[in-house]
Amino acid sequence: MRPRSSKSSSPRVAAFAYGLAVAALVLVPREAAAQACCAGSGAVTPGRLGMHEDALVALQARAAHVFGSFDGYGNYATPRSGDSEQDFEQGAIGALRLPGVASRGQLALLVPLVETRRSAKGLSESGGGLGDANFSGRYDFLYAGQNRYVPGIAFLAGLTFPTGRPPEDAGRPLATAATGIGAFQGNVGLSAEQLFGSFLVTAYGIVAKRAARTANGVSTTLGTQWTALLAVAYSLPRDCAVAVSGSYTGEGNAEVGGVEASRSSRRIPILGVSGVVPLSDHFRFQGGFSGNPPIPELGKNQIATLAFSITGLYAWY
Amino acid sequence: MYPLVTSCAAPAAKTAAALPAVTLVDTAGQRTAFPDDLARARLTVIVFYADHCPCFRVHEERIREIVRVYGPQGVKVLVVDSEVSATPAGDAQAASERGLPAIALDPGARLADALDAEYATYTVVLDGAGKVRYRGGIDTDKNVLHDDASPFLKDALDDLLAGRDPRVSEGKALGCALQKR
Repeated sequence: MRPRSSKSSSPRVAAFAYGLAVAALVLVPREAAAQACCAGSGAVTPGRLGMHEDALVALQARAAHVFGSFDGYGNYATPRSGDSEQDFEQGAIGALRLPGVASRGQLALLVPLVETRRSAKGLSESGGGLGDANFSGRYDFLYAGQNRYVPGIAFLAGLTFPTGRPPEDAGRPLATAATGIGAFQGNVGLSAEQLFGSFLVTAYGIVAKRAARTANGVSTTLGTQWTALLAVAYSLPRDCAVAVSGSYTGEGNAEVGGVEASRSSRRIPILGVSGVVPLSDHFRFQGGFSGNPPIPELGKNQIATLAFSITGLYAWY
Repeated sequence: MYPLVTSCAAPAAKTAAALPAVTLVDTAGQRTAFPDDLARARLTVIVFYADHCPCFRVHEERIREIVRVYGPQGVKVLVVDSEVSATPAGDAQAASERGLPAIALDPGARLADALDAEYATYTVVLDGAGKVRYRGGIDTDKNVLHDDASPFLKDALDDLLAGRDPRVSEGKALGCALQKR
């Protein structure tokens, strides 16, 4: 039996769409992707299982160039002459669907390696190592498209372990060996997504709380962090998809030694363009570009980067 | 290919008593009254349809083959549209353009709910007494057909027509979510 193409798409349109999806591979953040058949995919966990998938393994690579930064007042500035930074990350991802009556639930584990190359104040150095591992779960109460009016709704939860090296242990002058935040982080959230023809619209909100830690003898607690994301994906033939997404993260002031550190709060805007291209029923690539728009006041205490990521996934269903 | 068998054991038997007393009218104007009309065929195959689903579209070739091979052996194939947006005119046009068997409308998705249909391409084989003998995917393919796919539905029909229990009585349907509400 031979494959049969969709009657609704001419070969020229299908070829264009496929090419668009391939092009979009260089344009995707981890946060969003969709599959033409069978709905939702994409948000929150880098290795989210598709509707019928039981498990997946994935390798992810990400490279980011720092082109500026926001200070504690939200002022944006480009790096001083001679200063530069590139950040790299490689992640191993595994995801598994829960069995039986809990099959709408899935668990995922991300173990990253993190590297930084930084030049500043006449110094230049590189460092890296194991980053903070993340364990996350998702439970879909309703899938997108099952109801005309009620979107697919999912509960999200995650725990990040301080397996990376915190900044105070980095040792080097430019702290390039820092690979983690040094604290446990727990997060919960809700996701809503709905199909509108070939479009999949995803929105989610997540709140993250970080545990206290002691750095150089001083107790420190990062502020509570919240993230909102909106993504719109367009499904193409052959399970390809392209997506645009925007997210905004806010974080309260940190507490240092029991005292709130003023102007330590953060704001992180991210825009992204992404795509997914399956090479077979089981193997697909996801990838894209994401960046922090250099608009004053939008970011705070945050570097501005342009990042490229690509993920190869093998899924079982 | 990977075995998409979720269970080789007999599925929880849904008998005629569990089926709703519903009459479906297809795009050719034929009426099928559940469960009474099931006795008129040796086996009845119900395939759940979604107009927008690429997984269903690629399986249309295999559905036509099932009709061609098993129709003369007393197997009735009923393509059922349980989606909330389904219309007789839309289904008639799709059946005509895509060479499908007549499509039967399932208002309120009563039949889909009774048979636990959640995805397009989900297929149920009922015997003359209304007992579910196979349920799940047509085969192991999703939206690309492979020559080496495991033909769950075909195997089940072969076994049942030979008087045996299906070697696989429950497979995994890999189609799009049905929009029943």
